[in-house]
Amino acid sequence: MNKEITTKVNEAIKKCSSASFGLIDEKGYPSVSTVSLIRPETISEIYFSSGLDGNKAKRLQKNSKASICCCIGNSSNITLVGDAEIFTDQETKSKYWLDWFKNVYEGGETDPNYCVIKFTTKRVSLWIGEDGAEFEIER
Amino acid sequence: MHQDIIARAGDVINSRSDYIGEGMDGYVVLSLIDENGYPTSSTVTISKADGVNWMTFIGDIDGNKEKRIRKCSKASVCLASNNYNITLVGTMEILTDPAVKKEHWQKVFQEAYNANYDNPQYCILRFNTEHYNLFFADNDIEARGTL
Repeated sequence: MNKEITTKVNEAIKKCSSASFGLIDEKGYPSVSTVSLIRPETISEIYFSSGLDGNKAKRLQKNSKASICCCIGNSSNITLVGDAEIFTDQETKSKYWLDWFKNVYEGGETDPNYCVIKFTTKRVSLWIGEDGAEFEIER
Repeated sequence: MHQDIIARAGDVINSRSDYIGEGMDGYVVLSLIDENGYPTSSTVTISKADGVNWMTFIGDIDGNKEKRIRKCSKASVCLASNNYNITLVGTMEILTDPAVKKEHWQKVFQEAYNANYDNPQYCILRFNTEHYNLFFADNDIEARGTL
């Protein structure tokens, strides 16, 4: 993978406060909705919160295949394809807790309905400005 | 039951299809199923739309989206802002009828398709909605259902 592209895309993802998160629903359809990202640092791993009783968590428990799409301004599209998993342990929940989550989870970071979703990227397809690239992330 | 919120979502979609200019305001996210069964999402521009019922995008007959649609037509579209999230789930079809292609043709395509709406690479992708999930924050309204 081109180092310059990697640097650019990792810088770009840090500017993403929200993204489109795609999952497979119970009938095998993709279903895409908006999520707020938690301090994105690299394209390798993306974190956000969800309700354990919500559709996303229910769907992930049946099928972990997922996709994230980030648009930045009018010059960038980052498509990530990979798998997502749910974390309910308190250490992870506290680590990724943001103050404004209080508006959603009344019980705070120990709210039993609050969980963290970790998305792990396998494949990347992107264009940033005039640069485009497709590559896989080796682990 | 959800007629008001469906109409409001339809207005949002129609306004995006009218969008001409720079920036991402005219874009939506389209998710398809890839060859390994993963959802894969990317930005597309709405060409025409009829509220939440259907919308069209411009396609390339040999493109990744088109290859995926031929194998699996299931799809989802998402439009979002700080105030709303519109998620639609349905199916895609690839249209190559010359009359439809001509109807969608715009000057901005000339460079990509050699100034010719008969160019066999140029096609129309039509998304037909089956299910919706609509949320507007200002009214704290969420509506789910089947069209």
